Amino acid sequence: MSEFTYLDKPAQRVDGLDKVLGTAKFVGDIKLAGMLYTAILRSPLPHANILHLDVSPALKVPGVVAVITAEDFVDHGNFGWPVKDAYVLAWKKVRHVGDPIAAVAAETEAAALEGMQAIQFELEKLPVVSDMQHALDADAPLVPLEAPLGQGNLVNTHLVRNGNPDPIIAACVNKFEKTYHFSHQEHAYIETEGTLAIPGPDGSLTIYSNDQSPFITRDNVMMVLGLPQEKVRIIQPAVGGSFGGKDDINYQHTAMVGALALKTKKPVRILLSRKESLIASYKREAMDITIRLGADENGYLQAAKVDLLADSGAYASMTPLASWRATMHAAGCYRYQAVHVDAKSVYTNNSYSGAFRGFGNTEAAAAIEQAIDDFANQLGEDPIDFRLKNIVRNNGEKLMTGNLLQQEVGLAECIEWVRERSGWDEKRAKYNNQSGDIRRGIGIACYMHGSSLGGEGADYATTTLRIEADNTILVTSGLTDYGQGSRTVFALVAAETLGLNYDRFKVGCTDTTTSVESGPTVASRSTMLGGNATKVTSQKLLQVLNFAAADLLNCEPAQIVRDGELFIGPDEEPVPFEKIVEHAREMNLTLYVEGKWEMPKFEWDFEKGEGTPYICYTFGAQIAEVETDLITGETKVIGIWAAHDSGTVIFKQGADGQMYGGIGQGLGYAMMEEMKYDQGFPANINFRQYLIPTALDMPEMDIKFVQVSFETGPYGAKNMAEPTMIAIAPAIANALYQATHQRHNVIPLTVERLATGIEPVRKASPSRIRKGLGLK
Amino acid sequence: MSNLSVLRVKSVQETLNLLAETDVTSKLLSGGVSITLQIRNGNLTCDRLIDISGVEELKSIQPVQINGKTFYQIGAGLSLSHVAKNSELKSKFPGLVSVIKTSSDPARLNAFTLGGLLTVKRNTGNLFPALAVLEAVIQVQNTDGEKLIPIMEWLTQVKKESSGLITAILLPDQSQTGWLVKEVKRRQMPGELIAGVVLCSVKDQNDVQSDLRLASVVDQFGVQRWTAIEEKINQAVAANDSFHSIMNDFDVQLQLRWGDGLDAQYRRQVLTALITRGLQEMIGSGEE
Amino acid sequence: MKINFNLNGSDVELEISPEQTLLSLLRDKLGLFGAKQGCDVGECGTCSVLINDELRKSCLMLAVQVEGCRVVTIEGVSSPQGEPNDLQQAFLDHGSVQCGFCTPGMVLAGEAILKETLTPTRTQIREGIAGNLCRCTGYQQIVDAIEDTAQQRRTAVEEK
Ligand SMILES: Cc1cc2nc3c(=O)[nH]c(=O)nc-3n(C[C@H](O)[C@H](O)[C@H](O)COP(=O)(O)OP(=O)(O)OC[C@H]3O[C@@H](n4cnc5c(N)ncnc54)[C@H](O)[C@@H]3O)c2cc1C
Ligand code: FES
Ligand code: FES
Repeated sequence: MSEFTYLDKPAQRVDGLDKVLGTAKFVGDIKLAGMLYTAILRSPLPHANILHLDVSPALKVPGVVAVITAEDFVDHGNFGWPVKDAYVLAWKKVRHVGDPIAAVAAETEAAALEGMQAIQFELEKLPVVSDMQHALDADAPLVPLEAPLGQGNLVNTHLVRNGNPDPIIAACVNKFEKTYHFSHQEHAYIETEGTLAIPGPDGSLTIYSNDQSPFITRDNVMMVLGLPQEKVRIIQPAVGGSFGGKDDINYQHTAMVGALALKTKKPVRILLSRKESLIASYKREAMDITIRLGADENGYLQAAKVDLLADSGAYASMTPLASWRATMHAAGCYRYQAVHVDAKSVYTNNSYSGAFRGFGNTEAAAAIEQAIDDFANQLGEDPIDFRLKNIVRNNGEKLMTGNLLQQEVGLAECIEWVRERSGWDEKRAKYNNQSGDIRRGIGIACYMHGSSLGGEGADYATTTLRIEADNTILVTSGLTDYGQGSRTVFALVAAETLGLNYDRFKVGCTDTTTSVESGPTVASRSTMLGGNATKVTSQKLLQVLNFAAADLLNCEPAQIVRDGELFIGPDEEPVPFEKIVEHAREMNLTLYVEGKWEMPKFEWDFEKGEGTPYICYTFGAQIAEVETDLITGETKVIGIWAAHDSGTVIFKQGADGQMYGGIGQGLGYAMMEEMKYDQGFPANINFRQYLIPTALDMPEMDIKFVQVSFETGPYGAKNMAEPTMIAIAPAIANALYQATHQRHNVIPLTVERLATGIEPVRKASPSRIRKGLGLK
Repeated sequence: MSNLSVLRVKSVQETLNLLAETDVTSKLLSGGVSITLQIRNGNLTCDRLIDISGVEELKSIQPVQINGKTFYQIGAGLSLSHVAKNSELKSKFPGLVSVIKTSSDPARLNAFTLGGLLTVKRNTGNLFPALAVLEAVIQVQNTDGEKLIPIMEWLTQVKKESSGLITAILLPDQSQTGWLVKEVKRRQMPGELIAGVVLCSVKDQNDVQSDLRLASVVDQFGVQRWTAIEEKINQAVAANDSFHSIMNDFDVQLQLRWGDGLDAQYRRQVLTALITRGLQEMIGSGEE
Repeated sequence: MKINFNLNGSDVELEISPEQTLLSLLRDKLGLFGAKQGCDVGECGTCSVLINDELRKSCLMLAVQVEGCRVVTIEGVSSPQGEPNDLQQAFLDHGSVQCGFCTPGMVLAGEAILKETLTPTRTQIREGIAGNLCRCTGYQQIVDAIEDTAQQRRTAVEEK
């Protein structure tokens, strides 16, 4: 690997200083003169017809300035992609607890609340479907206004058709079949959702929104408010975490503040309380995954068949795409002769499900990795040996989706590293012979994760670079940074490519007016896409600089050599960067460049279930060691070892942080995080009822990046934000299996499940929910 | 604007005088956590707050004699973290100190005061079972004089916001017997907590006969001091009986009290386990 | 009503409402936005401040309660010129900041630990920040930063 000047070195995150000083401005920290506050009337019921809605009493409340409903939007505010089934404010009916119905803007928070409470409305209760297994029953109530596929609550189907596994499995001496269940998970970003709209004198809107994909937000606002592009500007301020969770709900909020700002001609802000956020925001979809495997007499996997059912909740949101990703990974990173996967997503009245770190693969990998472990145990093989025998290893090998790998694979190396570092062999043997109530176990899980959008959509990004008057360089990207550090990655790639000091680079917030549209910031695509775009753009700028340098030094651009920031011509007199820029300005050269990078094309045939779903994959392996109390179920994860084949690491601390943070969310998912719905009513509406890991829940983690360079990535980098959370839940489940010899087949493995196997009744409290939503 | 006023007081007497005024309604403000929440939820119903955080009399820790018995008097104005950091209490009541540390996070422990905690009586927290086995006595004053209320009576019989000022908690000095909270086990789950506490004598490890005390708390089911079970265990241990039969009794008692729903089953199992564990560590499983 | 206290080194006298929380006083009245409101009911720690060197959640107390106290917010941790202090610098060096929403509270929780001891174990550090939720980092680099700062301050003390 070549030596880098800036990449994979300690570097400070570009937005770090403001954040440690406490001066970074989040939406809630922006206050403007005359700004109006909002309160949103949200449904206290999971499913009901709106029989009557009269907002006029709200307008009589002192301080209330405006109220909006679905009638204030084009086509009643209908939006949503890939299924256009959602509304900014509920139209005709409400479909989940927390569905917004009307929004009030007032001079104070108290007046907004009072106004909201004054709205007259009548809801007619409809039957509720809360169990996804019954969503397609003939007598199940229909959740959407119209069945999108004409088949009741069916949202979408996906499939993989790689050979025919049935006869192969039938012929196998070793067979396996089991179903694994996964609960809803809340994103629990520490900053709740916030948006602020500022009306311009010309009827335009500038909106600060703490979302992930400002360009989609903009397009939605344009659509539902009927505004042309030049009238809508979305700026992303500092964002306090998102993990996939701040899109759809903020599409609604931006449209609401936009409409209210236009109506009142005043700045309008929405900021959710924690309770409102927990009740109304979307979640990771719950899934049931059934896996059938066949292996020959020597323990080599032959074929897999997987059925997958996802609970999309009240709206489709990103579930069609997340379930596609789950489908593309459902049989894991193993070699098979044949694989079939069949996936369905269904509507229910359980909130709604959307994007969340891992995007479907979190559940898919957790299912197959538990299955592989169970199968290894059934065959009496060590889980690592069994995996090493069956994983994909080489360029050109066939993946579960039938396409051939076109890259080197660092998976075996990852497995070997965690095995060695964790002391697997010794611990595994020791923990096989335990007595007493306190038991330990150690478990492993692997993953592969398709990079970027793949078949999910067009994949491109644009970066811009501008040399400013003070010779700093401003970088913009249409891909956003909500904490994952992509802005720092772009600055580092630009510094590396241009050979200029990292300190020179400033990375602006994403702003739809000054940045160039780059698709959604999802699927951990920013490093690959934004990184490559930044590299291309930097190369373009470098050409301009070299052209100026050649002119100044009387030579050909090709003759220029560099020593750090110095440009050196044939006469060997070094000229500093500033001089070159000065000369470029004298030559009237434009010191602003745009560069676009697009993924090479590949095709997945959604109808046939064949093709190439992703251009490349990242791989990894994680080991967890647990200690559990057989009687009380009390369990502590006492060690984690994780290796990720990331390609080149660009931003060292950022990469480490993604790994640690991903593991943290995975540990929560494995052990404690569960959004329960009691007939559609959420049972966890605050952080006492929905626990996320604290510093005491996390063990010390030992991590490594296996840097198998990937040609197509910028400087050989792949992505990492998402995949790092994928393996930890199954690794913990597998460790617990060794400790307890019991497989619960449910994630999360809460203490109740571990202690007794009894599912404790978690009752939701409709009256507390009403209160949490501000209703009387 | 609000009509709420805040008065700062410096002494117990001043507080009592203000509390005795009948034309205005008053509430005490100590650590303020619960008061803040009441204000936010719009259920604070009083004209004024009496801020007792400046009353030094409520912040002392000292041994006192009552009816010839020695008690440790811990001022009700102290924050839980101050109690946990006091070196004398650390050595006298190590179990109590460890219980406090696990009962919440540092910032909240710095805020919560004993007086507030005893008033709010929120079951979350394993402090109440610990106080129950330590046989704490609550010292309350009003203009009529002083009352001493045993903790179990306080928890089960006294109304949430009884009039008067809690001045201190009295803990019987354990140094004659060497009472020690031996085991406090808790299980934190989303929104609930189950804790079981076992206390034994350090001095007389062999003579556990009269030296065992148990208490437990489960959110919805409140604090229980398991006196009947204590006696049984003590007898059984003296007679070298099997440990398991005792715990079965415990389970039966719980069943009688809580019924047999799935929830109760689960809680019963966990609580039994916690107490069993504590006992086993103390007196051995009785099976060797 | 009026209250007097010391805020980040300066004595202040302020007119407040008795119902106001300290968090609301800082944010809504004083424009100090460093303390965040992640939950408003004491469960997240983003609103942490130091009161007489002790860590407190400013959403769980009334403004009237700081009468006569020394209050330090994140704005009072850095130098008046806006230079990060050693702990803040350690957060930057160790990559302990991601989205940054928990960061001000974490820095103050770290300061509270270091005010008590310069030889904290990693477990003590974890206990000290247990009331401060972070969803991004998995806490490891935050523990690293606090541990490292303890070491540096210890060395500084020993050298004296
Ligand atoms: C958000 C929240 C989280 C909590 N989390 C936990 C937890 O994690 N663990 C836990 O154990 N408990 C928890 N609790 C309960 C907590 O223990 C009590 O609310 C707390 O102890 C109150 O103490 P304070 O000093 O802040 O009370 P204050 O709010 O000052 O007072 C509470 C009540 O007690 C009265 N009072 C105060 N002092 C006296 C006195 N000396 N004499 C008579 N009356 C008095 C007040 O008038 C008021 O009615 C929590 C409570 C809240 C509101
Ligand atoms: S805002 Fe105070 S703890 Fe969350
Ligand atoms: S850095 Fe995002 S919550 Fe801590």
